[in-house]
Amino acid sequence: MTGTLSINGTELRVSLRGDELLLDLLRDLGYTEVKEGCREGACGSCLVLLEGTLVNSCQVLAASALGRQITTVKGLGTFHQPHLIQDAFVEAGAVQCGFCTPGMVLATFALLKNNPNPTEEQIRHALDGNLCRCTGYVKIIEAVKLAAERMASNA
Amino acid sequence: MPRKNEKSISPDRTHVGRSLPKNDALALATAQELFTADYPLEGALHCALLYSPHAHAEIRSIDTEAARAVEGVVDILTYQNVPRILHTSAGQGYPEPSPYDSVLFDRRMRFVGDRVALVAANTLEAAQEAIRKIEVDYEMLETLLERREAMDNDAPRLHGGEDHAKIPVAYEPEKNLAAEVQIAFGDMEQGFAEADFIEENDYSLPAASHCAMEPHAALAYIDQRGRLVVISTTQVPFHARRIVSKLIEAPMHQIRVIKPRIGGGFGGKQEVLLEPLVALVAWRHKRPARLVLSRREVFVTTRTRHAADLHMKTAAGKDGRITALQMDCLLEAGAYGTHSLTVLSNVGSKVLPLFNKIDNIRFHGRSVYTNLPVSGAYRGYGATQGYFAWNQQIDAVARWAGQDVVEYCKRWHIRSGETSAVFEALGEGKEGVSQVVQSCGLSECLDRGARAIGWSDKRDRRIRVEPDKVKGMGLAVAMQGSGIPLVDMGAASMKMNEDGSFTLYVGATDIGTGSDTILAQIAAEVIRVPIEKIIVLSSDTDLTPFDVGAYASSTTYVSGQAVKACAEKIADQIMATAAQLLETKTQDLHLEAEKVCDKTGKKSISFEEVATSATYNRDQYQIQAQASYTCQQSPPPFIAQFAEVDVDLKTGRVEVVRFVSAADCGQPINPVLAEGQIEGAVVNGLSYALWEEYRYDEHGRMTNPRFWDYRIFTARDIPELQTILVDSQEPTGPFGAKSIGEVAINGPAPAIANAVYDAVGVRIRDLPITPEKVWRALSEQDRS
Amino acid sequence: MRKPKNHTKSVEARKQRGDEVAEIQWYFPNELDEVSEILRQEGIIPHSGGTGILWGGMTRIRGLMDVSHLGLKFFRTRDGTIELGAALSYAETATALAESGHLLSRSLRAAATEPLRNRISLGGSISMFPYWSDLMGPLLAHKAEVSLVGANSGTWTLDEYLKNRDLRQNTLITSIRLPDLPWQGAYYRHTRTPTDRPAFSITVLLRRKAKRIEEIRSVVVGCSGRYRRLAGVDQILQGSELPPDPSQLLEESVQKLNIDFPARMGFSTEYLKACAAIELERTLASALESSPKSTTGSVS
Repeated sequence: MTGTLSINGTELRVSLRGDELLLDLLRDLGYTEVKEGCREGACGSCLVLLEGTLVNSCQVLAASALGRQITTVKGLGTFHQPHLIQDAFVEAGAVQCGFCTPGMVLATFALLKNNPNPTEEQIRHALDGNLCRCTGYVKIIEAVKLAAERMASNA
Repeated sequence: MPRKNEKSISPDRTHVGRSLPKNDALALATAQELFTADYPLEGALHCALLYSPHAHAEIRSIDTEAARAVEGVVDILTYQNVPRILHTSAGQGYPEPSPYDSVLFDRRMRFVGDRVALVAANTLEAAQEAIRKIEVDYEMLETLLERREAMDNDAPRLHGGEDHAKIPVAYEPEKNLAAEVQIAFGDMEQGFAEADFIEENDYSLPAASHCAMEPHAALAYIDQRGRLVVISTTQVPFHARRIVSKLIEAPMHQIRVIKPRIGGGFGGKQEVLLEPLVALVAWRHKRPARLVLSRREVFVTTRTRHAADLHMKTAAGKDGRITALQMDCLLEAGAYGTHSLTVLSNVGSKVLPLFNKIDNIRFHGRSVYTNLPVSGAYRGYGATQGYFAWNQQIDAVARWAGQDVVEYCKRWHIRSGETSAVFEALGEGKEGVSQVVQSCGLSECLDRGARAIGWSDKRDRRIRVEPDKVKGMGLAVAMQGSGIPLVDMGAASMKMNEDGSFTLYVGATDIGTGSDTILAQIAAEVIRVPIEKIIVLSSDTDLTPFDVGAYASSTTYVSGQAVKACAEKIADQIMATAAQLLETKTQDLHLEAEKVCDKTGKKSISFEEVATSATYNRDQYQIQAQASYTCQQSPPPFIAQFAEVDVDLKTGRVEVVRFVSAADCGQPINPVLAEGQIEGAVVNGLSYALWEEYRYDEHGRMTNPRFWDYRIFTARDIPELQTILVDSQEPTGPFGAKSIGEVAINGPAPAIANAVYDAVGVRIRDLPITPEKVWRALSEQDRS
Repeated sequence: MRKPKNHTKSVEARKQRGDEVAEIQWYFPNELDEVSEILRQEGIIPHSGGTGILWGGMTRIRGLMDVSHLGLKFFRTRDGTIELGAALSYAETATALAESGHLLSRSLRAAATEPLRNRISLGGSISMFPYWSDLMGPLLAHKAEVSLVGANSGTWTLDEYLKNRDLRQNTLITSIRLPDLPWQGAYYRHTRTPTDRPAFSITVLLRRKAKRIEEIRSVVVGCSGRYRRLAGVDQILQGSELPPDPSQLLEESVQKLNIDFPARMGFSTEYLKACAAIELERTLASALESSPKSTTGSVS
């Protein structure tokens, strides 16, 4: 089947199989910032925003995303114009191997959009779909707090 | 702004001790960096693997006709068309201390997940379809699924024939013995006889998966000059090059291995597993090849932590002095013996020296083959297993002697200026290396950690948090090493660019640890230049000098010393050139913030001027240097780790409320990165203590190869974590540094076990410490 | 891989690579009227979040009917009834009910993980009803009703829906109704780690007048038989006057608990059974202590 997808503001016409996962389609189209870590919806490496909502792209059938807006981490910021969340992660020492980081950044974005001043419990809850084996989460939680602080002072 | 563990920087230090951001952090956070599976590879052959569904079987025949008929299939590799070259997949220095007991494709299948065939096709879908169409006829063989039965006379044999050890060590495949290590000092009988108390127990730990977020992957292609290039998720690019050369029978000088960004390793990628496969496909077909594993394949077919049984007998006098210590260990190698000798050696060599005043010690360990997934390197590397048993024994002895275990450990641990006979006795397949410990902050770690967690207010109190919840406190101490002495070598080279910047080439392997950054910090400290002016290129066998790779906690200490030595040579050349240009003596000059100054301060010249002059002016030469370093010893980092738990008396559920780690890693080059290593290791250790294990059915199939059923901690699980770095300087380390990558994973499990005992009086000696085990133990306690 | 600038390139390139046309047919109806026709075909099932479909595997599925254009994401309260559109996700439902502290809000917020909560739909979850459902306990305790369209159209109680296999064939759940009860309640989920699925869950909903328990409904989900209303337990407590220390009464009622569990998630049947009894007592105590709001709830 064919259809259109809007990814980070760019509209693409795509062909896809009916049982194809959004993760595979995105990576095939070149959006390798969306990672595959487990293919079972547990690790969060494949997170994207689908119409602004945080979802595991490995748990979304691509066909159901046709005609919708998808945001990957590159839709939030780039190397030359990073999002302040990305800067916060760098500063807090929350990036070790970096494989989980795109997903963490998106989860943080989704959290702070709805809840600009989250408690620690709310932060842990919002990031509970993101596995990290390098950091032990400590500096990631600090990064989220730092990002919240910065966003508040920017507002 | 100074960070928490940044000590007041000595006035002459510009980079060492500063928590600078990792030089790849922004590129990673913005997903600018590519991981292996992200690299575009036009016209690649996609590879898929067929695995044995049987734990022990012989392939009678393989019929690939239907598979070959699938459109897009280009090749199918099996034992029939791939040379049988014995090797070990272990990423270790040559000659490897692991037995040569593996071939790329065998007829004999030794575990569910062993490799049967590889299909290379134009699309992944075609490869996967072809895999499903390969027909294999197996002759079933008796399976060996219990490590305790492996050496029985009637146990099925997994290896033999041509399998052999590459170095002279105990290896008896006909008995399923992959490795054996024994040391003994003193007189055990005497030691036991003079004791007033003997604590003798069995301990057990399961296999575990590293769960690096990035699954294993490898690419290979032929470059414009016909050379083979391999890009893979490797912790050991140089070992990979050597082993690939051997296995595809192509000269090593025709092979280049590049390590890109890696999404975590923890030992799981210290193995040369996928590289030879893609290399073979690319070499044969002169087309690129690509192989990316699924998470399930990572769980089942890559490597695990060694499952272990330990038996410890500790004898002590009334005053608590240990008069004899016996440790027996049975490690489960699984189907192949990679890392089985060295992990086994480390069970003893990293644990027994910690209390070095014990006269009578015996260590006897064996690694045995079974028809189960293959164990290999895993952070902690035997020390984790050993310390789980050892720390519970110590806790019991201290209690019996009526002493607080914190004070007890302070009394008996090895100190700066001391040695242990174990260092020399236990090497890694070679002789061990005697060493005198030159830095040990463990007592301070114990004091500060105990204070931070409120030890004396909560230990031995059994505070009732709620009617059904009791609080307990537990301690574990540990040491590790910094590289393998006289074995691990790292090298660095540097050149100066005309603008006064530098390019630093290191073989050292950054797997997310930040080694690229800390090595640049070391160089910047020597040369007195902002870190942005150090361009780091690492882990490319064509471009960078040799390094053993990221393992054995070697990078900071070994590679760091190479970088320091190299940078010092560069500094000398800069000053020599400056001396000429300034018409002074080199002795009167020093480096300071991108310039060379004389004593008076009146004469100076910028790095840029020096470099430009050296490049273009007269007596032109390239300011460049290289250095290698092989560590002569392995100065241990030390750690004291404290767990505060609340135990539910009715359900046995153990909640870790607070966890404190106080570590001595010498001078932390970058405190935030050092903390990050500790925090990550701790959370991995907590998760292993409470939930992680490989489960198998009666056919030897892993039944939980998914995060769904193999639980690891999320942000919602972690307790309050605190990390303390004590002041310590290791004189033999670069700027006083030791390493920190592994040691923190050793404490969580025994600290929790000791805390559970403190809370409710039951000891759980087999991991994981599940609620049901505690519940059963409590029920038994009630009954008796 | 370079992103295709020419949008048709990706279509052609993928076709050339041999990606076949979907065997799975997708339907995107805009009106509920279209549903019966579509679902009448064999092998076509509704798709909302899709997580349950991926879980079950897609080999027997011929087609998927996406419900996102049918206007089934709604939340209405009127005349003492809460009506939830079946396409609402766990997260959306939890948010809609959060302010009132509703029991369902607490159970759904605890379920799974953030991105999965954003995707698991009420209708999909009811039709799949896995043992680990964090939805069914509170719904059953509230005696919720489901409205259906398709081969079967109308409204049934959840119990009827679950008992009757035919109701689940060729049918779409459109909404769920539950009474807006100003009751007290508590919810417990038995897991290994917090983001785990529960091996079982316990829901207690009760209505008190001063010291008297007027009505109580306890449900266990995940036991043998998938779920059980704890009639025996309820019977002891319903109509009784609470003494100042209710623990003896609770203990007595828990002794009426007679359910079994299959061994799962590393827990033995013996242990699960023991935990069920212990946690039921705790959940009952928690329910009694919870504050009643205009809609109920607290999670133990």
